[in-house]
Amino acid sequence: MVGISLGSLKKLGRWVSGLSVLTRTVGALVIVVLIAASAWGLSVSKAQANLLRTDPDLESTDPASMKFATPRGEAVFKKDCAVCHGAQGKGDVTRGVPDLADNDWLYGVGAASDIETTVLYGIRAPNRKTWNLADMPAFARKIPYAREPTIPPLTPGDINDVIAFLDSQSGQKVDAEAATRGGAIFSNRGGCYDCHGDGHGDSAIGGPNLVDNIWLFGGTQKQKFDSIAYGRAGYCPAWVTRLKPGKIREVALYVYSLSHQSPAKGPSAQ
Amino acid sequence: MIPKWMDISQVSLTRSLVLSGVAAVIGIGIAGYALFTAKGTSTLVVPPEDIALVNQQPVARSDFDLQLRAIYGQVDINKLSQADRIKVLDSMIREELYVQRGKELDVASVDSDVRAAMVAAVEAGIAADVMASNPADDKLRAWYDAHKDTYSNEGVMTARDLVFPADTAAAAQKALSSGTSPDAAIAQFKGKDSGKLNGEEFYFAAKIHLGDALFAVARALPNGGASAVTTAPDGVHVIYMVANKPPVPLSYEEAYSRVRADFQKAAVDRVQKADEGFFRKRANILIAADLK
Repeated sequence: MVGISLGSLKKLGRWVSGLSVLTRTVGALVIVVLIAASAWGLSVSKAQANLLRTDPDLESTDPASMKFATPRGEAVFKKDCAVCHGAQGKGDVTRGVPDLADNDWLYGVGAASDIETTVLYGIRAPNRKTWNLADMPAFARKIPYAREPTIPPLTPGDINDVIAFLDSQSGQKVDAEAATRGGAIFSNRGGCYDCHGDGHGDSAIGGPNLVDNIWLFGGTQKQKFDSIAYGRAGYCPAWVTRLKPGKIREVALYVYSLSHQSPAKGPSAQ
Repeated sequence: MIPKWMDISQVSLTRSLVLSGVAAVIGIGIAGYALFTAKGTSTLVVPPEDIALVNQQPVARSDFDLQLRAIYGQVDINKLSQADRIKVLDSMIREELYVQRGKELDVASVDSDVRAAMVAAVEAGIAADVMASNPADDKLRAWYDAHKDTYSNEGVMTARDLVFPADTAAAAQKALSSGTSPDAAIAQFKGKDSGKLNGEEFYFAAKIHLGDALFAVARALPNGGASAVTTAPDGVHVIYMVANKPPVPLSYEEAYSRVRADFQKAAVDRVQKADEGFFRKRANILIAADLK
């Protein structure tokens, strides 16, 4: 066997020495490039595996993981998410698309794991694990909320009173009597407290904070009236069956990075 | 002298037949063994996106993390002990084993809950593909143009439903039409407010409160207008309209969320119907003679 191998090697050597210098150089370069590409592929594959095996909340605090994941996540974001959220992730209030860069979160507290859960299972998506615990009722309808039919409709005056109450809670000057009436509706027959608590919302069920002056569907009087009168129910697809787990992790970390500058880039590093 | 069939320097029909038969038996044996013990391509390495493989069926790491957070949500899951993690993993492996056994036993054929869950899961899977696609703006606009009538806000009215004695109703109506205020007309013609309407109301609410006939009369009135005398079982009515704001069609931008939701719902219905057609087409369905 050794004799045969040595013989073959000698034959190969003679064949190579018969080639021109240019051919030998190109051949050597091709071999080097192939080896380098394989090594790079292996290192990426290893890094991706590490990324998947670590908790996303830990990775989001690790500059090396973020450095690896965010450019890759950005590519995924631009391909699959930017069509709704915009290239910079700034959203669109006219369509109820959230700003992903403002660190105000409707679902969860903005941890990388919360973001990943939303990417995986979506919001009101056809998936059993999706965020779908509540919708905003449409109070200008005979049955405002099919999930809780006991909630009664409101009159236009009631709705304006509730808006006055919310405006008063965020420090604006309003008709005090209207705000008082609105507060009573908010805390009683309107059932608003159920999801919005004292007005500061509940991120466990996607109940938005109504007194922080951040409005998903716009904050003009008309937009607020329309939200209460006609209801809201935003939607985000579940990507669990459409993107590979590695890509989901990368895009989740990229979205996290939009509102959390990494130590390497952030003000603390300057 | 050795028999001819054992002499390999000579052609032997007997030997050829025997060897062919033996080869056939061995081949059938190997094929049979493989058929009844086949496990498909298997791996000994758990992929990074999974936490375990149970009979080569992956248990997703994302599901594991979700379970950990659901069970130990109040603490940082990175601080959980290995024992806590293994406890959750063990329950997930148990679930997977039971799911696999359920498939073997074909529990869907006998358990209506499983059947319903499977139908719902397949429907959801079809819907998920449609819902994940982002409809082009021109398609949404075309949908909006074709269904414009359905996209409007709710009308609002502030009206008084006045009831008069039969002998004064016509005069009261005339006075109201001439600019007499509702309260003055009530006093002058011995009428009363029915109390059915209370200030500004959405159309749907006014319709419930007035009933279909009186609402139809009311919604056609201009601001300051009085309806013709309308006789109803509970008296003779005149509706006085303080302010009437009929429904206003919404622009495409204002209706965008609803347009998109309706468009996608229609798309899901279409795709589910098409898929069902495909399932029926490829199925071999035999129907009992009495139902043909």
